[in-house]
Amino acid sequence: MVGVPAAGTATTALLFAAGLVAACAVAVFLHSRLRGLEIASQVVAAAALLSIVALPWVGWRFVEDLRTTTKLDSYERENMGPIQAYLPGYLADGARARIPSAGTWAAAVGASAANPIARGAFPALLLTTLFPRVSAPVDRAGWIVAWGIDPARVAAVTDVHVVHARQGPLPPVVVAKRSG
Amino acid sequence: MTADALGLVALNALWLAAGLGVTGAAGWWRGRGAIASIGISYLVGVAAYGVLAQLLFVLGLSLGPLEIAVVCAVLAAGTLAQRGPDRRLPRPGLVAGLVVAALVVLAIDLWFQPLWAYDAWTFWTPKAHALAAFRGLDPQWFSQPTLANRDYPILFPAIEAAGFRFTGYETALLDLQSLVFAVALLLAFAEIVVPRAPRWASVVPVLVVLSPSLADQLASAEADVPLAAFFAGAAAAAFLWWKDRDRSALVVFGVLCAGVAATKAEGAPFVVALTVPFAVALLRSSRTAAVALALVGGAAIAIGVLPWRLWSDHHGIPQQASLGRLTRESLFHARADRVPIAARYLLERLVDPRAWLLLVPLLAVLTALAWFRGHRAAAALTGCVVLLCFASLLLAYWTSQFEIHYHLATSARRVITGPILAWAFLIPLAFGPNDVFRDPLYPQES
Repeated sequence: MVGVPAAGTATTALLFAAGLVAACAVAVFLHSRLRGLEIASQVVAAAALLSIVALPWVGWRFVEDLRTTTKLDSYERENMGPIQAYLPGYLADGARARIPSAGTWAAAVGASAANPIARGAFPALLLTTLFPRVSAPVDRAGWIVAWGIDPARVAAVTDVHVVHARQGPLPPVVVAKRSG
Repeated sequence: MTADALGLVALNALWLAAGLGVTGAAGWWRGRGAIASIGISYLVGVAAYGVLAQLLFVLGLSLGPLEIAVVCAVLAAGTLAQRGPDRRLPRPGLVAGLVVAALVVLAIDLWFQPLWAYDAWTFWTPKAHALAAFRGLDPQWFSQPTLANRDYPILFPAIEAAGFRFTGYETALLDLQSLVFAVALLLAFAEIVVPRAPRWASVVPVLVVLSPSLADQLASAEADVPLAAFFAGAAAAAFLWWKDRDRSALVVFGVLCAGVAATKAEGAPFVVALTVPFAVALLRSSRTAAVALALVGGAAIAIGVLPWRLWSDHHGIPQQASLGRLTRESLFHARADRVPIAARYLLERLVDPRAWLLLVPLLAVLTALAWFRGHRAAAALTGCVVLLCFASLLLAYWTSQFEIHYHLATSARRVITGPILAWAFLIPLAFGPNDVFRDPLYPQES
């Protein structure tokens, strides 16, 4: 679930204490019924009772998740994948305007201050943003989309354009036409 | 989104009709027994549609709403040949109420869930989008180098693509589609396992549905829950074939195994891990039954994997799971340190109460109890299936091209779902009475 934070120690202790009280209450209520059970039933009953201890925590996860997901705006809802990878969903929109719909592209990602997860996910963001354009190996692509690297360092290029300016730790997105 | 949800309901009704056709013709149910069989029939319907869709896409066909309806209608025609027992579901009790309440909470949570999981937005859903947008399998798009896991079979994207053809490109509904798989699996448990197992078996679905890992995976719109649902259903069907020689169970086993093999790369090894122990066990009582199971399992892998493998090889898509790598002795020696790392990590994920509560320790204790309480054959079979599944996962991590810690961290919590749910189906069945026909809840032949 996307909106579940790590529970603090106090929260965890409180949730499990509540669960323990609930499990004890159920155990007391069912005590006479559980006594006569055969061994497999007793094992299952014990596991079920112990699982009740975790129930408040399980419920808390749903509450926290819904508190997050019900407040998402339309941009967050449509771009939560890239956002989870520390990428703004609109980062490569400018590339879509420059690369013709029948064009092919290659991603070039260099070292930058961007989060390593973001650097790893950038080609996937291009894949979805540039759909239905297809990617190709650098030496066969019509266009290079460079992020954190000069496109001239990966191929001979012309028509170089910054399609998204530097934004905080995110380097600019540069689109260039491969020549030759 | 509400209108789109109605489209999804219509599509799922088609898959259910298709599944009822397959199970009806196979002799699983008759008459009102269809109502009791909707869980397993739904899974069979989706698996049959998914395997056929993969084949049709490979053959270059397009699947729009009309074609999807035609494929499902052809499969649904099997209802005309229904010839099985008049099955009944056990009377729902307090436990069923708890499961339904948990499912309602899950449904509310999933309704608001965006598409966020890494694998979902980077390749599963884009593949489905491409199948729907190109109205088929576009070789250039599916073989492009930026697409992750290009070699994965396409049953799951084909299912999601069918959803897009009925709802438009509405990714918010993908999680609800995953929930339908879970509901079908629980209904299959109620139909197949509960009547054949001791009363405590009803507690197992409660633990499954409350498990945080299930909620996390349903919210991720990835292929692991469908694979697990198919695999658990196939495990139950294999058990019925082993125990009762129920021919309809053999058909269900075959269709679901084909679905497992066509869903993810680990699917085919899982099918082997399920088929081999049951076939070996059957050799003791009936060589014919053993050969039949082995042939059906083998055919299921061939149908689920081969068409896609031929297509992907033809278009130069490199395979991550390669039999060639398994035979390179040097690779095994060089990476021997990966095995204990992977084994320990998998074990930790299995018993992590933050993932599956106490389900796995409970299943382990029950397996040991089954052994010591006289259900030795069933306990040994269950143990073999589970251990072979984990051995196949270890082999995958051993030979993986990825850095081991990264690979484990990003996949281990999900890939264990299939074996766990199959275990949850098999072990209550292992405790079942030797002669299930004495049970008043067992479906009666007319």
